[in-house]
Formats: sequence, structure tokens, C-alpha cells
Amino acid sequence: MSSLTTEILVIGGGSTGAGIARDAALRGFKTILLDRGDLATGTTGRYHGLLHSGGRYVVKDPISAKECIDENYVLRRIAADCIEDTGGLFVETEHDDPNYAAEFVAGCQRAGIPIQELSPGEALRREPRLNPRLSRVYWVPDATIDAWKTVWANARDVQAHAGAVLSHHKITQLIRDGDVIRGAVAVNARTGEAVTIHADYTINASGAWAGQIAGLAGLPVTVLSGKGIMIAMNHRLTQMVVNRLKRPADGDILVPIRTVCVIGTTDVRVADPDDWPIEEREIQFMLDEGEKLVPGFRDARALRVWGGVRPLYQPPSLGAVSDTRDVSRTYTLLDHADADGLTGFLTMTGGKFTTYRQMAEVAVDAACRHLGVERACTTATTALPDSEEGKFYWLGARLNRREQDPHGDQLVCECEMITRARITDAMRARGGDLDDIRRTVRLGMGPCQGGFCIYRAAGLGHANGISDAEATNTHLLRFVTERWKGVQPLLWGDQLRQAVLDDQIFQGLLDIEHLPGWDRAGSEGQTPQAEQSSTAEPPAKAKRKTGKRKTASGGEA
Amino acid sequence: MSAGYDLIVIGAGYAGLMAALTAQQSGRKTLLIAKGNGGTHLKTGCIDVLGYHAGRRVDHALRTVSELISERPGHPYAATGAEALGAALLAFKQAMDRAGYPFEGDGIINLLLPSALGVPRPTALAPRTMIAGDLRRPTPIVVVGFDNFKDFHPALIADNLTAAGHPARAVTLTAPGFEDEADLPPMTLARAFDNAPFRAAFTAVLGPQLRPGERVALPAVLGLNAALEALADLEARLGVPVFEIPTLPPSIPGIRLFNAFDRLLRAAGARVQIGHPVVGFKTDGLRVTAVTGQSAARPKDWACDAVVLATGGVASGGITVDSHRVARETVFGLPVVAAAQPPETVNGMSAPAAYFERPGPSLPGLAVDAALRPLDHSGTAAYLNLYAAGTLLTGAEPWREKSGEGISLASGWRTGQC
Repeated sequence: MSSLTTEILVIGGGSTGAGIARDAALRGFKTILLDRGDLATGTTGRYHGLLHSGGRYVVKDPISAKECIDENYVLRRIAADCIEDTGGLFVETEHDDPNYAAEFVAGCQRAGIPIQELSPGEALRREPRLNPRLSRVYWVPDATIDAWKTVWANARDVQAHAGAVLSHHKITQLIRDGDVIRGAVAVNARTGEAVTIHADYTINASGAWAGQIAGLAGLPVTVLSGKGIMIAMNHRLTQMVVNRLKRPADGDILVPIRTVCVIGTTDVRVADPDDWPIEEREIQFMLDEGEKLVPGFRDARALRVWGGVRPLYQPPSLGAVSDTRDVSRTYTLLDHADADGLTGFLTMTGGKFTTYRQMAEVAVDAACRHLGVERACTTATTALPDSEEGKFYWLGARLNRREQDPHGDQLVCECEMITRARITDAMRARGGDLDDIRRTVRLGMGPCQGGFCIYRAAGLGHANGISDAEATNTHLLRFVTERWKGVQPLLWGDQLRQAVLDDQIFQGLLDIEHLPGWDRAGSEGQTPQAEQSSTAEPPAKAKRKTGKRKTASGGEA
Repeated sequence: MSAGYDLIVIGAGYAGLMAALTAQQSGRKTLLIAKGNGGTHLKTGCIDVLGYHAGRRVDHALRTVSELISERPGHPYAATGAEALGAALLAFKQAMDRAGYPFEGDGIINLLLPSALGVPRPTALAPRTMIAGDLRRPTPIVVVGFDNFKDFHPALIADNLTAAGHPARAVTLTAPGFEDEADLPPMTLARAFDNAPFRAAFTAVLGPQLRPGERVALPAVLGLNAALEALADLEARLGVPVFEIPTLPPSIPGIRLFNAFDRLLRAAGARVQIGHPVVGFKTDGLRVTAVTGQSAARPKDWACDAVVLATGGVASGGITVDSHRVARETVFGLPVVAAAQPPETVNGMSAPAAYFERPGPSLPGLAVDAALRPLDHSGTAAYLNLYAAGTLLTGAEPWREKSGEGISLASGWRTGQC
């Protein structure tokens, strides 16, 4: 068993954990950030990408609304490269209570959210696909933000400040010494090797999984999992974020992010953050709500459905909660020294992506108090890597680069305009796992859902010596089966045609089902975390399976 | 009906082309009308009959089709019959010989050709340009690709072939004369291989890298209009057997095959109208008397004695499915046998969905009677003179079992005689 020593250990590599780790590293703490899988694969990598203005919460959750608008302005300063400044609209349709508008306006004034009323004609001029029967429209400073890019920018800054990022490490034990937590024991999900991390202070930022982690120290922390599903449509039906002008409910927001737009979301309490369903009736409900915002929504092309679980902290005083929509979206710092008499450990949970930086500041302030040091937070004014110039992300950037030099490089992924150089660089940095590369450069996230580009990308990873053939086959097959999970519930319209074309390519033309080294039975029952690999070496597990298969197919041939 | 056609075939994929050629060659006045190109441009350009059955790779294709027919009466081969399949394969080979684009294989024993991932893939007939790739021969293979062509990865193919027991190595070149173009489309490469100077430059680079006793695999771009000449020239210059491996669409071998059919049809006097979607039809009682095609200016009626519907399944728009999961046949509004419905719920987080393990028919399609006429809701022929062929027919898993072209040729051949 190897061992590491650090000042601050952060458990959970979502936006909150990455933000906390960066905050701590910038204050000069030696910091380790750890996640059981790849970074941003829990809730953070599974949300629609809204940078809240706070408008959604001004009536029912004003504290959260204020946090959102404050942090909206901060993130625009420090994370410009991750943000597209789309603006947002709140739209009253014939389905919405006309009395809500007055409450909304008053709430925005209280929270300090600047709004501007647009005439219905002006709103339709800017967003021609909107329901033409809209009766009232307000502009708000909503925007969209790339969750993966933001988390990785935070993580890179941790590394740049002498910190370490341990992905694919699952915590098995918190090291408890009397009433003090002195770090944790984790197991490398790929090698099975255990590592002991001695830490002066441990911060639990594992979101919906925070109860599980706190439970390792015997602490009763109840975090509810509020599942939300989202559907990505194949292009941007609107260029601005569009919200219904009503109390937040299911299927009432359309978020244009990169080349697609995402309709969201639902909110259903689930018992296990790792095991929950996406239901046909939820999908149909989202389509019906989409029709109310954008007529013809059902006939637009739906690419993929997925879900995520919000971490919603339930204070012991609140008792049983029936509807997770009623749990506040604000964040909660659980100082276990005060509540449980246990020092060296705190839990930061709840909250929203938009408020991750503020959550990090509050958490590290608390850790400083307990460690008896005074070090000021600088994250509100220090730009993230690649955001130093303060220029917002622009959707046309990739096309613009391509047009400067149309023949200079291959377009491996036409839908997302990703070049061979970009994919090769990403693979050199992160390994050949195609799902890791998807999150890094958005490979395979457009209309073809990997039908063309995944064969090409797999071949590139192999040709550049990043993955051997066995690992390449495994990455390819895992990508195809993993994509199928999000495509299978949406098999209608043009996306059904695409799925059949993709079947024809993968099964008919390439015959991936009979790739050497692929053991289908072995692919089942693993969590995505266990499957991910971001090193040049194929996962030990895949190698073992390959050996088994070889014996079997040797007999057949 | 002197002003009309004896047969109108709707759709220009494998089934429609075969139906139209069969009808025209039997002396019937035939119109082939289609919205656009069909499956030829997307698939391998080989004729799959049956590649996998009951979890096993199939060696004896025709014999296993007979087994399949007795086991699965709802399979399209049960409607076409094994004899029609054999006759269709023979007619197809004879036609391609006449067109100067010959196919090899006997349809009885499957060939075993490498896929673009290096998987040994069974198929029944293949164009001569692919034949030297048969993996039942032990000759070592050198897989040659181009770093300025992204749809073919020689090293991965070679490693996977080797792992499957077929020794192979890889060579990557830059396509000569295209050093400044990083992203060559397959059509550009195919046209280059039509030209002798390109072939000379290419073989001058490749030749010194070959070892005696090898055979050379290339992406399936060996010429668009002069593939046989290109193949013979490359083999003569290199002194070793050369073959091509089909890769991502657009399919150059498929386009050659379409062009061969097109030449035969026109030479035999058939009319071929591509780019004319059929938007309606006329009936007299239970007979279809005309189909309405959308031409540039206005819809136009084409009178006919019989119609073969070969519009393809969902992939080509012959059948659509809306967001309420309602499936529709798009020309005649025929009843569609629905695909297996998706599960009411899928797990959103943990186990990946079983991509290869889908329940029931994975695609919606048409049910037909013994004469291949689509059924109405009562289970009898919807129209007395309307027939269906190809991917429209329900009951197959064409991509998984490798049966698509065989079903299309057999049903096209049968309906072309109607």
C-alpha cells in the first residue's frame, strides 16, 4: 500500500470538489483532489449547462436566487472561456398563470437581478421559433457554461499549484483517530491498489454521495437524490436560454449549449444515486412541455436522453420530504466539529453548479478556521486557465479556425468540428478511452452520435500508440454500448434513421460484434466508473477478458 | 395500357434495382422511380446472404437459409423461398458479368473477407476487387492506408486480423499528388485510382515496401469507373495480389454496383427516374392504376399494371416513426408491423444498455402474403397488384445476421416476375 501526505484532501471531483481544491491550492495549501471515476461524471457532467441568473428561484427560493446572480457575475469574470453569453428569456405562454409575472419582477428586484421586459414581437424577432402566443417576456442575464471545461480548468489550476488530482480512486475508509479525521484510504479502480492519504483536513464534496462518504465516519448525513432527465435536440432551436414564466417545474427550460439545445428537466426523488430509471412517460412529458415553448418540438430531432441526480441536503429538522422540488437549491456546510464533535472533516453539499465557487470559498474558509490559519480566498478575482483574456466562448470558433485552413487537417468528427490534431492531443494527455475523449473535446456528441467519428478516433488512438488493439477494441465497443443507452429511448424520427445507419456501419460493415478480444458477457454489470480508463495502458480487467476470449475463439476458428 | 408501364418499381436500392432489371429483361416495360439513391451507396458492395445464425458464423449460406426458413416462418426468406434466393443470386451474377463488374462466390459457401476493423466477415458474393482478401487462404496480408484518408486504419486492421489468426502488417503512405490535402474524400481517391499516372506513382512508393509472398489490402477506393483495369494494373505493377476492404460510407463499391445496374437497365430500355419522390397513387378498386411522382414542376401520374414497393425501411424513409412511436409506410399508408417497443424504463446510471441484445424485430416493416403482396389490417393483400421487396419486409435483423442484400435480391427477383 502506498501512502501520500497532504494538507487538504477533497473527496469528489465534480464542480464543488474541483472548486474547493482550486480554492485551497490558491491559498497555498498542499491539496489532493480525488474522485472514484473521471472528473465531472457524477452530477456535474450530467446537467444541462445553465449558468443561472437566479431568475428561476426568485419567488420560491430567494436565497438561492441571490447566490446565483452574485456568482453569475463572478464566473463571467473568471471562467469566460467556459461561458457562452447567450442571455435568457422568461416567457409567459397561454399555459402559465398571468399573476406570476408581478411576483417574478418583484423577486428579481429583491435579488438584484437585472431584467428587461421585451414586447412579444421583439422576443419573436430574436427567437422566431418561440410559441407565437406568448404574452409576456423578460430578458435576464442567463448564460450557458461548459461543465467539463470548467471542472478541468479548476483541476489544471490545482496541478499548477503543486496539488494532485487522483481520478478513478474510490474511498473505502476515513482514517479516524479518536474524534479527528486524519485522511482516507482509497483504492485505485484500475489497478486495485490501495493508497493511504494522510491529510490535515478532509473535505467531503461528494454531492449526492456525501451521505455515503460521511457514513464511513459514522456520521448521519441525509442527502436526497433528486433525479432530473434531459433531452438533447440536434440543433439550437433557440439561441437564448428560454424559461417558462412560472414557478419552476418539469420540462420548463430550454438551454442552448454548444451545437445542441437541451430541454430539462424533471425532479424525482430516487433512493440510490447510482441506480435510477429514465422512464418513457418522463420523455413524453418533456416533449409535450417542449411543444408549449417551441411549437413543432416533437418533430425536431432528439439526439440523446440522460439524467443526473441533484444533491439536496435534508436537515434532520425537516422530517420526511415528499417532493424534492421543495428542497432548497442553496448549499449547506456541515461542520462536523460543531454538530458531531468530530474535527478535521466537513461536508459541503447541496447547491448548484452556478454557485460552486462560492461553496468552495465557504468550505475552505471553514477549514482555515479549524486549522487556525488566515489565508484570503482569491478565486473570485483569479481567472481560470484559458480564461485570462476574459473572452467568452463563441460557437463559431471551431468553424472559424477550420475556414482559416480548410485543407490543413482532417475533421475527424464533422458534427462537432473536431480535428485530428485536437483528438490526438487530447489522447496524449488523457489516454485512449473514447468516453474520456468525448468529455474532453465533445467527440461523438452531435447528430451522428459517433456513427462515423468513433471508428476514426479509435483508429487514431491505435495508430498513435496510445492504445493497443485490444484496448482500442474495448474502448470502441464500450463507447457504442454506452451511447446506445441514451439513444435507445429516443428511437423515432430522423434519429431512428441515424441509429439504423449507425447499426449498419458498426454491425453490418465493421462487424464489431465479432471483434477479437471482446467478451460481451464481461461487459455487463460494471459501473461506468469501473470502465473508464484514461491511461495509455489498457485496463487490467480488459486484458484479462481478452485472454479468456482468445482461448474461446481459438476453438471456433 | 400502351401509355403506361407494365411495372413501376419505387426505390433504387438493391431490391428495386433487381426487380426492375428482372422485369425489363423479361420484356416488360419498366419504370424505376426513386426519391434518391438507396442502400448501394451506404453498404459494403458485397452480397450478404446469411453470415450469422443461431450465434454462429455461417459457412454454408444457402443450406443455412433453408434451416432459417423452417425455424423462423416470419423471416423474409420464408416469404421469398430458398429457390428464389438461389435463382436471384445467379441472375445477379450473370447481370454483373454483362455489365463488366463481375462478382465471385457461389452463394453456397460463404467467403470470409476482412472488415475495416479487421474482423473476418462472412459474405456470399463479392466483386472481383475484393476476392484476393479471402481469409480462408493463408497468404500474409499487408494492409495499406493513407494518412490523408481518415476512413481506413491499416494498423488496427492488421493487429485485429493477426489476433484472429490471419497474419497481417500495416503500411501507411501519403497519397501521391495529394500531399497538401489532409482530408481526402473517398470519391477523390477513387477517381485518382482510375488514372494510370496516379497508380504508377502509388506503386512506385509502395512496391519497395512489399515482401515476397504477401497480398496487399487497400481501402475500397480502387477506381470508380475503371476498377477492374485499376486492379489488374496494380497487381501487374506490384507483382502480388491486391484487394480492397469496404469502409465507411459513401461506398465506392456500392456506387460501382449501382452504376452497373443503371447501365443494364437503360440498355435494356427501362426508364430510370432518380430524384422523383412518389407522393401519391391512383386506384381502381383493389388495383393500383398509377403512381404520382413529384417532378420539378408538378406532380405527374405514371400509369401502370403493377407496382413493386422497394422504398427501404426506416433507414431510407420508406417507413417513418413519430415521437408517439406510431410507424407509417410513407407511400401507400400500408399497415406496419411495429418494431419491439423500447423498454418503459432504462437504467440511467449503471449498466450500459445491451446494444447487441435487442428483443424482437428491431425494425418496423411490412408483412406480406406468399406472393409478396403487403397485407392490409384483415391479413389479406392490400392491393392485388402491389408487391413489396427489400428492407421493407419485416422479420429480419439484416445487419446483425448479415442477410440484407440476399433478402433484397431474392425479393426483388421474385417481385420482378410478378
